[in-house]
Amino acid sequence: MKTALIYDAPSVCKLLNGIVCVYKSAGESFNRVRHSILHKLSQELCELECRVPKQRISVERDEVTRILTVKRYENLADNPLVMGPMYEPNDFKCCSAVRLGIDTAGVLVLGLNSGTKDVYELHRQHPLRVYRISGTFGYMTNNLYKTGKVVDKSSVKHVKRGVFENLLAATEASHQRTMYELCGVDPQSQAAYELAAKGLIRPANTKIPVIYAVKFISFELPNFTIEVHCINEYEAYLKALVHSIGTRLQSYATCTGLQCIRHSYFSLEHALLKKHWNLEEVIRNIQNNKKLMEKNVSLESGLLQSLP
Amino acid sequence: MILQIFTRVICARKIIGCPFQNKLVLKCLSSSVSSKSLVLPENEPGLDLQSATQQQSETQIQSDTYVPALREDVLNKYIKPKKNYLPLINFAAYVNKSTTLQEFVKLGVNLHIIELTRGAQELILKLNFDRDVKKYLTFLHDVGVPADELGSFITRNPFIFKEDLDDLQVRINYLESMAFTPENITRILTKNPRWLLFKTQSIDERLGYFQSKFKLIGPEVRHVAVRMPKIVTYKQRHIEENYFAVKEEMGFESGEVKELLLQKPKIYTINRSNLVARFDYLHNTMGIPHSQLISQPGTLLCRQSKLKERHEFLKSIGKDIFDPTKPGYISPLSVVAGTDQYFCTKVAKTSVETYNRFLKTLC
Repeated sequence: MKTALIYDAPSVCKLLNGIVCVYKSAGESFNRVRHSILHKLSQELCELECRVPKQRISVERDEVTRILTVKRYENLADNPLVMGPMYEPNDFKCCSAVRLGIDTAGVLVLGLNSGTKDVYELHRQHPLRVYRISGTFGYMTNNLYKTGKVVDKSSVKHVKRGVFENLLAATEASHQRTMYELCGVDPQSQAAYELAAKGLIRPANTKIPVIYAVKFISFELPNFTIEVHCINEYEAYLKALVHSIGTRLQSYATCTGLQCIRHSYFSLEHALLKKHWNLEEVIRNIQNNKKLMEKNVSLESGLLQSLP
Repeated sequence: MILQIFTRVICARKIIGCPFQNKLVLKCLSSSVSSKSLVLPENEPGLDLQSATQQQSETQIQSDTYVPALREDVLNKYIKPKKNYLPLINFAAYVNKSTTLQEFVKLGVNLHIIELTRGAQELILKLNFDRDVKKYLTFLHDVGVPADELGSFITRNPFIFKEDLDDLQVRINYLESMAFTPENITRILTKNPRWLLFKTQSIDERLGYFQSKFKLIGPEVRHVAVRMPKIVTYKQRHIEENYFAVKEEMGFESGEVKELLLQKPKIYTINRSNLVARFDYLHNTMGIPHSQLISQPGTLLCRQSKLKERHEFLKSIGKDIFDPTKPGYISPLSVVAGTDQYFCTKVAKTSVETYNRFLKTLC
């Protein structure tokens, strides 16, 4: 492996192409994350050695001798004081195929410059996301999240761990059944087996949420935590899922935390914390992600590892 | 001129919906710019024949001699402007020709920031360096603004060139009469260049407002003005709101309200809802009493996300003891101040890696 020190901004800027995996905290919108990361990158690029300002060339004639001479002047219109900083947040392309909602924390996959294409390509393969969702039994709010106004309350004593686990297993089974039905095969048939042997059954539509697994993590009344493996989900859907768990247990449940712990190849260990959103870490992250995607060709490798 | 025509065309389109008539209106518009031409001569009932023909011949002559009729495609370009079309003055177009702008660049003025200030572009472009600018620079130098601060001064306050020099001198004399030392005046001007735009009477009123509102004595008013010169020229309504938040919503005594102003005047200029949310977290979640907040008001200025992250970490390792009488006490200020490295090694006594791993479990 070759190593080289780079200290000029244009060549550093060329390295900012690819997929960045960042950790988004709850309460921060996607646009705010995007703006703060681009702002920091452009600010640090400006501090590096930028390109040489252009020169102004003028042809001048001496009045007495009538000889034309070519002269070079410093072009002040190219001065950072006049035209603004050399790099601005608007100079970068940055987007994400899956925008986590404002209440969701966790892994956010961003495409930077030419990486925007890769992000959408990844999204077209229907990557699997894993969420860790925590909730509380006993009350319901108007927006189905802890920040809302409490609308109704219920008792929680009758909710037992066994019933709770049964319900989770039933939810998972019913989703699997609908998956086969959407494909038009009987779950008990040979065709269904052959379909399943090919790998995960992925929905053709990118709008309908599909749950592949609901796992039990912890249960201490009135709090509980579950892990959900899903495709095409969105924030409101997950909040409603927690609410439906509550109502099916003759009680109320409210979501208190949503954390995306895995997105296709990327898990929490690959994600950059907010304090690490700088040039050096972002470039290293882009390189690591490239290697990671080359190494794991199959999207399901992550799922198989995490399932016992 | 083009803009005028553009707006008139839009008006005309609203008045007359028919495209054929529209063309006529456009022709009239292009031939003469007076607003009378918006009304078509054929459609006007009260006009007698002679005067109508006269007017027509006049407009014909005008169109032949003065302004050629604008072609429709050219007009369409202005009727449907591009999406990102923004009329902007850009100093980069003038900087190679104008010596004044070149001098400003040498001073270190950020012209691209002035460019965005409304009304400042015309003002700066009309200036002549020797005639208009030099006297202000010598004045600022005499008052004590250091040479390397002049650039940022003009960047933040380009409107100083609008003010009369004698008025500025009067405003400085007022500060001297209020027993501000020359060092204080220098600090006030470098920290808040817009101070000089306010009239003596207005500044006097604002200082009086602080004196009566917070029950300050003379030296204390000067202390606040020098410590944070921006607060004196800040929106009074905002300060009034934050005063209400501190006194009524948070429940500080009037003596404590004054103490907060003397120690951290910034509390009265930050966003009110953020301030109240932060206080709520500090007082109700972390259990820090008012008396402790008064002694460490810096905690009220820390970002809430940072405060929450660090508090939750301390809670997870069982070190969230903010009561000074108990063993293992951690001062709230040491939680929010300093880098993560300092916080982890000196306050929480763990490694930064542990803290980073903890941050990724928060949601």
